[in-house]
Amino acid sequence: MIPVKDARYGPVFWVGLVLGWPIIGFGVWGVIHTRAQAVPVSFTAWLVGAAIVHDFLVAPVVFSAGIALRRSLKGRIRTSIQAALLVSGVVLAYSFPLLLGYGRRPSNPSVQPNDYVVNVVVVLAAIWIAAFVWLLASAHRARRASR
Amino acid sequence: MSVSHPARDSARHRRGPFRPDAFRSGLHSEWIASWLGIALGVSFTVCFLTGLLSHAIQHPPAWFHYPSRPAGLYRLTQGVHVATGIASIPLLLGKLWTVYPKLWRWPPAESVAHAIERISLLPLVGGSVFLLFSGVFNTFQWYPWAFFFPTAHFWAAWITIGALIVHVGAKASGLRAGLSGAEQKPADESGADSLGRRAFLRTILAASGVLTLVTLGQTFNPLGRLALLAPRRPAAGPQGLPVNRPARNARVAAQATDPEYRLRIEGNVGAPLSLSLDDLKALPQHDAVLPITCVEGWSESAHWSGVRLRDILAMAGARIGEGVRIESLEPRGNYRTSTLDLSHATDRDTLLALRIHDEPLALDHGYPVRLITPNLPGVMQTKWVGKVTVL
Repeated sequence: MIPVKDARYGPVFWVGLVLGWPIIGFGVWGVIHTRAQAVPVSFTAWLVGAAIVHDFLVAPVVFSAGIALRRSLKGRIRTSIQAALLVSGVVLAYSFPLLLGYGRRPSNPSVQPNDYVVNVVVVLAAIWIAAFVWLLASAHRARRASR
Repeated sequence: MSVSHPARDSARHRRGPFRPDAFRSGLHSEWIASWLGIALGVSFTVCFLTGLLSHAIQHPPAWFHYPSRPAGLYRLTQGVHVATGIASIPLLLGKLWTVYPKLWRWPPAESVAHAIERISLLPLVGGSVFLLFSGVFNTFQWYPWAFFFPTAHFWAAWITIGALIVHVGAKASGLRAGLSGAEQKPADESGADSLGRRAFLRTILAASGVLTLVTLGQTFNPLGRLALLAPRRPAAGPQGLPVNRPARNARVAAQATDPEYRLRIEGNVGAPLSLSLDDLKALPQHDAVLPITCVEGWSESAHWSGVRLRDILAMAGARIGEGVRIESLEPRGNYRTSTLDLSHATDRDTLLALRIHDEPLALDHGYPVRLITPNLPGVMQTKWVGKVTVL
């Protein structure tokens, strides 16, 4: 059996529990109460699925990429590439539906009016140029400091 | 829950991510988790409150009265809602990355309280990720799921905010120590060759900044040219204004262009009216510069002209009780009617607009007549108006 007592959890924890779980319950009640619109099966699949996809698919891929990067590069270059990859990854995570044209319909050209392939390339280029400039600047600073 | 006894569960028998040294980066730190946690606490609270406001405006409870002034308030709050949600994406991903090793801790629960805390993380993590991707996909008008977005997003927000309160309660006592960086620094084999903690936080903030910079222009005009990855461009659309529901999707083209079109004013009135488009054009016309603000986070100001709603209500001898219902010609749709309270119905700038930028309305903008009123979401600015009912 796991112990009941745990000194790390004080009264604030129990207050949070008593306040928070009824609100979670309210949300769950709402999904069931408006099931014609909230569609509980789809809702649950996407909400729980979000956690599962992140924890067991996205995160392992990111960690594997991190390990590969760590093994293949050293020094200041690695730091700049880590930063540039992080920002690029976020931009792609946000924009992949735009790149694939998901949600775009001929009946309404005012939705997704840009050429997103070109624009993503422009944004990524700006990120990598910024990372490169930062790399040069930090190398310059290090050289001056060592003199 | 069955948990192995720690004494019998030697650390060296653990494999893969369960190994005590599986995650060696110094970035899995309480200091980073605490700062990102505070940032997310603020951003999610802002999103929750602005979202609740938008919900209350569209589905007002009896006690809720939303004024028609200041005219641009909803533009601000909904712009903040969407921009804050977008800016939260890197904060959330960075936070989940930082605390990821805890997912694999062994034993999974050390006490009843610890077990409850960890179980409460499912609605927190699932709900947070759900809110961000469903909100973003909605702005792209991409719906790969079976639920109706506004309803699901609304209830997911309650689930997430409840779980956030539980999480804050669980972490409150450790927060000060986390922020001070008093924790023991985990071994980091790479040292200076990798991003340091401050650099990691700065990079996360830079990612938030980049996403904001390339999207905010969809509502904040000075950044319009930088809105490379915004799903809308303020000027892209007929007559320089984006469209949410085109006439073709609403199936109103035939009725809206029918020469026999009549605007009917009914309900609690002295004399019901039936006005043709020419009748409306013959009435005193007024101008107003008002934004269309979409719940999806884009907005754009336009120059409208048409008949004041309050003039027409006065002509019909309206006795407004609960409000005024504006009804579209569209046969069905979640937003075919909009109910205005007294403040919006009688505002001097609330128009049954016939023209935009000095041209007749395009069919996609609600020809022959659309509602335009200060300080309401675009979904309530009914297009192709066919009937006004005084309630």
